[in-house]
Amino acid sequence: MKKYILQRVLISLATLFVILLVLFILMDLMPGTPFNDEKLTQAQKDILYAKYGLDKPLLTRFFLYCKNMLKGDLGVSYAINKNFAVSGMVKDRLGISIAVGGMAMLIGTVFGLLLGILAALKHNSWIDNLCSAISVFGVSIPSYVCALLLCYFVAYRLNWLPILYNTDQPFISLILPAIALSVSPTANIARFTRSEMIDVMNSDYILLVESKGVKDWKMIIGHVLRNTMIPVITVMGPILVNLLTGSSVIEKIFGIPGIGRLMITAIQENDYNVTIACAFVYSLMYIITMLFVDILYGVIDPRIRIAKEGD
Amino acid sequence: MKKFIAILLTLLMVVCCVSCGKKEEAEDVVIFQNENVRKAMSYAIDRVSLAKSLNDGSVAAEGIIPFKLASNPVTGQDFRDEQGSVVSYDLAKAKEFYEAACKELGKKQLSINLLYGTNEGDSVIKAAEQIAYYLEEVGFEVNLVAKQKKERLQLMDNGDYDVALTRWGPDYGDPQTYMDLYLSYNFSNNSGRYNSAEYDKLVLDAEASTDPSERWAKFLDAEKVLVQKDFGIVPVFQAGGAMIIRPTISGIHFHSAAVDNYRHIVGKDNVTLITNTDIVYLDYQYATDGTSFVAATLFTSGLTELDEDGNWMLDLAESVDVSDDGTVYTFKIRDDANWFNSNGEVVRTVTAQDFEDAWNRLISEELASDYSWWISDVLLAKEWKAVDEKTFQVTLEKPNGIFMQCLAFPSAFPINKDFIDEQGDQYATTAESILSCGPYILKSWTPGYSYEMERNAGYYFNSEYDAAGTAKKIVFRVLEDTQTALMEYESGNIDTVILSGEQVTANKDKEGFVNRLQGYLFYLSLNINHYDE
Repeated sequence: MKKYILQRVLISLATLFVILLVLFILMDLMPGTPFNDEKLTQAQKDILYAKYGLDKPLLTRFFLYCKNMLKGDLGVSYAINKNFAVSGMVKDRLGISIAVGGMAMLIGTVFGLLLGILAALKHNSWIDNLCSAISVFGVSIPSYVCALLLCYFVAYRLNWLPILYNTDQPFISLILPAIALSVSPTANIARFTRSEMIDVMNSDYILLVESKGVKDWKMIIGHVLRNTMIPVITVMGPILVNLLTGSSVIEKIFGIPGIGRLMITAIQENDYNVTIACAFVYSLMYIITMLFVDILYGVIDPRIRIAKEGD
Repeated sequence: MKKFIAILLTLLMVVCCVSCGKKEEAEDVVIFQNENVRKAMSYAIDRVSLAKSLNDGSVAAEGIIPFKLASNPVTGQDFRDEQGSVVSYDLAKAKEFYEAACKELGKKQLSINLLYGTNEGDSVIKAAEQIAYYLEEVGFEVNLVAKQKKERLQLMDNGDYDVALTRWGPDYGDPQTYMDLYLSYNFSNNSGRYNSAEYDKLVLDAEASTDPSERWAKFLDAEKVLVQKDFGIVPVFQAGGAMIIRPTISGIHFHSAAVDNYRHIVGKDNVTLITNTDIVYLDYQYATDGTSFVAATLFTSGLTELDEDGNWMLDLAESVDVSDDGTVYTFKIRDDANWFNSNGEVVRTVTAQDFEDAWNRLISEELASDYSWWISDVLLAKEWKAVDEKTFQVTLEKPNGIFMQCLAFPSAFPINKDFIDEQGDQYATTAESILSCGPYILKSWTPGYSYEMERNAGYYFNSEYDAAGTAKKIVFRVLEDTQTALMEYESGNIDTVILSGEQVTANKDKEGFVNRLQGYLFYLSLNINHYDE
């Protein structure tokens, strides 16, 4: 198991390095520069290029960036908040995105599992149909429609919750965005859980468990759910990363200073350092989550653990 | 290994796309040397209908100088009113010119790429589509080329475009801010390389002239040459901005050619305003965007300030002496002008040296400010010095009618050099790392979220503000989404809301609805001479 984890960590690090290099090359290919501004003359642009070291060759910049990165320095922003340390910008906004994404994931997982399990247990009944209808609905409606509906009815009409994000009451003001964000993951998790669980319940080993006279709830928790969870966790990984790295649309609607919006603005403004940092954080989180999911497999499924130990 | 090959292939594809994309442009560019082509384009556009359809307070352009930018130094009449319209819409004429152009160029149909920015507001996208429609009506084949703003500017810089919908925001209230753009040697702004000796001469003569009315007359003539005679550019519309301001508050002074003034808001102690863009930089000598400048005029002050009508009044200067020839200005700085930290404590008094330091820093190469030319090109100052602690003297190259007005712009504001040196790289990155010498103090700034200004109790004008009932606290909330902003406004949580698209029609009759005219003039830049042969 240790060897397996070590191997995975090394592969992850190598992947990250390649991602960073590709990002650097892509940034260089991106049309326009951070200093395309009608108010700047060519001479001023040259000065700015030299000031930020952008006149150096690509590889020199890349290795300089890597060196600084190891010290925790991700460079400064050229356009969004001029001369701001990117590490600070990303840190502040990532925290908020993780908070709202985490809440959305929690809601999505709890309701998704509940709906999925309920639908699978009451397979082919009206409850199943209702749960499926809710899932289809959730997958089809874009999150911004949900967000606007929630804003209008829950916040504006009923006045139960605030519309805009507020640093004085972060929890309360993040409830609506979290609900809006959780609609699609809830539906996805519910659909997946339902189909996996129906498969598992039709399998021979469950028939055996049943015939041995194991009680219903014990069988569901100990055998059915456990086997259902492996594929469900696989899909939850990417969903989680997607939620934690922020949604540009939801952030725009609720006025949340999150990382999703930052990345979009950075791309539009050609703010190289910010774009690279955001994309890198995204990759990092993805890779860490996948690593975590891999390790979790071993915990949930003894077959995987034993197989790895046998390696 | 497979992954690596996949990445390499993706990269190759990207490289191919980028290089192919570049070759595609600028094919038919040479057609704009034909005067009939340019004329056909100018006559083809129904500017009045276009501006109306934008539905945001925009108005049809009548020339390259926008409305309410500058007024005649002698009569006080607005440039636009005095000149009248130098563009017109005439479909029949446009078709005639188009036919003639086709004949001269030996082509059956003329095809053009119309470049515009996708992240420059809804009105730009709408306008580009409308312009394409008008041009197609005349006979042109129009391909819309949608790009992000930075890429659009890059393409224009490189001459990789045919026609671009672009804009200019005036830096100060004088025709010169527009006229300089199309000088034959202004390679930064004259992307299409419009080149006219007659135009150059008129503009340069105007700028060299010491007689205000002669200068004015030459600018009037120059506009005619550029737009009416040569059709060097095609003006389209002047931007508007629809918004609702809570009827109980007043005192926001909008200026189309200067920074909007929020110092005199009355009617409410705590005001929350919506801004759709955040402060880019608190260092007002380095900033370039309107939002940063508006913030700067609240927490700092200059020698002068603009009133509601855009006329200057003294601010940190208590008196000014002007030499008989109008070239030497001697300012006495107020004794009670002070620097304050974010807690509102006095750091020290504002001195003449602070102005000298500020102007020296602005023009320095290490700062690389976008507005480094402000001192020499707009203020026309050639020398400036602190005569004593409170006396600041400026010598101009020649008399300058807009000198006092342009001192109210943040680029001319003082700095506290000791504080900047002490802060180093951290200067102006937080509310605590900047000093205030204006009517408000920046209490907090959370990038992407909000910034808060609190009335500065130590400011010399504070008792007058108290008497007038000026707002004690102004919160600027950064919010891009206009739908939620409108709901927040209706709920009473915010006091202004910027409207877009259909919201304008729906809220037109609401109390507090304002349709302000902005200084931005949108025009078509034609690539006349800027291409590789």
